[in-house]
Amino acid sequence: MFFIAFKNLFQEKIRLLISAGGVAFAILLMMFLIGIYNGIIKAFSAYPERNPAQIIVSREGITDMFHGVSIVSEKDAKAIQNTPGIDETVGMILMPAFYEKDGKKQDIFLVSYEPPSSLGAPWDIVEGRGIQEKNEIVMDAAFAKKNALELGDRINLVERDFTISGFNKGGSTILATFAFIQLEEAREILKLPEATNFLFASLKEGFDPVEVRADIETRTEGLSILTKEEFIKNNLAELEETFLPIIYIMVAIAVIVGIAVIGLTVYTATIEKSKEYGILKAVGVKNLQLYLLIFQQAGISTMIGFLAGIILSFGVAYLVGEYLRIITVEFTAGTFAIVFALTVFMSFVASYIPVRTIAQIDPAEVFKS
Amino acid sequence: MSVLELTSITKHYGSGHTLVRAVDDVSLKVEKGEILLIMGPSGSGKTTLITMAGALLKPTAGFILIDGIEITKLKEDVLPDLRLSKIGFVFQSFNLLSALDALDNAAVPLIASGKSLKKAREKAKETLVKLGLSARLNHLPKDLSGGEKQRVSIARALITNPSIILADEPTANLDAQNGHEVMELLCATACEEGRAVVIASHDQRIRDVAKQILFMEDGKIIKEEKGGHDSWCPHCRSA
Ligand SMILES: Nc1ncnc2c1ncn2[C@@H]1O[C@H](COP(=O)(O)OP(=O)(O)O)[C@@H](O)[C@H]1O
Ligand SMILES: [Mg+2]
Repeated sequence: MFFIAFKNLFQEKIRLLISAGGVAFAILLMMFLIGIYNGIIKAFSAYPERNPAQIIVSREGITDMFHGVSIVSEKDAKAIQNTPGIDETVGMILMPAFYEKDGKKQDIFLVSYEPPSSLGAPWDIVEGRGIQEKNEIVMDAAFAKKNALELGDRINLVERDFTISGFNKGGSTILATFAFIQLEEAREILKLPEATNFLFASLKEGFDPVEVRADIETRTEGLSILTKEEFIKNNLAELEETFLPIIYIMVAIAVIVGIAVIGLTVYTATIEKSKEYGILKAVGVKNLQLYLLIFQQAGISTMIGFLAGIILSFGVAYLVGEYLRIITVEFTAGTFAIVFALTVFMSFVASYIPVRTIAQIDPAEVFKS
Repeated sequence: MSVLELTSITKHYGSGHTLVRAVDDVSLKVEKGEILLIMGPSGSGKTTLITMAGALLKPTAGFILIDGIEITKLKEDVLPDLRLSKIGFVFQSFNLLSALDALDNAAVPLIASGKSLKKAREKAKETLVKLGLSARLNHLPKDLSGGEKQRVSIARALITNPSIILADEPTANLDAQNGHEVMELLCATACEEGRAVVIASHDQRIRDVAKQILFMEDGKIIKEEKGGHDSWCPHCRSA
């Protein structure tokens, strides 16, 4: 019966175009929302993710970078460094700052690191180099491009002039951009010689972060000791709580729009052809075969819409990457799987009323002329 | 055994003072190779009768046997298969599917019965060629004349090799020439292929092809008559 579904659909090309087009835009919307969400999550997790530290230490009660002030004393830092299994420790100072251009303030997370250690260091340097001297700063390439900043430019942050020594990739989030300065300089700015906000630790080969953490806990007090995975999760928690419900609602709306478009076009097509479905019934086509025919018609139009929507999504993602810069749209295999499943769901739901309509057609009507 | 047997078939519509006795206690038998014409004025119950014989409508009372199977006792969900294998329908308004060309229209019953598209199309082509439509295989219904459309619908009716052809006013929308051709095709399927053909019509021309004529009025059979078949039929005369 598949070829009948196909012929029926292509008999009305404009209608097919409208329904597939409607679905394509619903798909685009879903892909885009999920893609943006993925992009935001990826950007937010980039800093802890790309940090080779396997254990992150903060003041008790502080479990992420965005809530409250963390302090880790030099004494605790030493105790941690002396714990068996710890390879290297580096303190990190985090300073919320802003960059002002044309009267607009843009948030910056100033994070420190201690070259040449890679703990907390900028990753993916695409231009220039890491910090070698005091007063240098490494900034996000997308942020720099947006603000027309170049290598060697001087930039004033927290009432200090920094010289841009390098640009790295993937350090911008929708809320703020990460910028890297030297730990020594950060200590000076905050007048904090004996402490840092966080402590990053890497492990020697063969040591388990959970066991080492337990060991550290016996040697220190008043600290929160997190594995890398926990730290990443904590940093994303608030974001997920805030954005996920919004994403869900908007994707649901897109699904409803898709169902409405497909449902309406399949329904009108079914009504228009109800006499023909009656003929098929009279000839001996079973109800189930006719339902299948409807599903196939809905399915073919949604699949055409799905493919068009995916192609559109890549186009829009490219344009966003090219012109909006700070936001990136990330499609994962999961994104496609979810959107595909929703598309299949759409065609099933959209077929429901037309199928009911078909079930009611009386084949005896075919003799009425 | 008769191919089609109706015993005391009655069909009532509505109830009380709006009750319509569309068919009222009709009994008849149709044998292999028979061409039965049911005549009568509009509203006499011809279509209702043929719809019941085609397993598309349940009678209010009475029994219908097709090839010895009592279809009035069968469950609703097995009737489509029965129609598919035993009955071919020919309608007044052709009833082709507008999106399908002649070939695919004729192939529909075979596809519905689970044959592959390729096999179904081969058989449809063979049937259409036999009916003189070799030049019209890939035409859509909108590009076919009335006579051609009716021939496609006859091809669709014949393709599953059914035992009965039920035709309701098959010539009503056709001119004399095309009407004649349709009559010849129905005659051939009865005389050469041994099918039972039942035609409901008030077209006087069809009397020539019929072997048997039943006259209906107000749902009842009021008269029986022999048709003009034997002197008209080219197949029977040459045989
Ligand atoms: N579905 C129906 N509901 C009510 N009355 C009907 C229905 N179908 C047919 N009838 C009535 O039954 C009678 C016989 O109709 P029909 O079988 O169509 O006659 P014919 O085919 O000889 O013109 C008519 O009076 C018609 O109005
Ligand atoms: Mg009639």
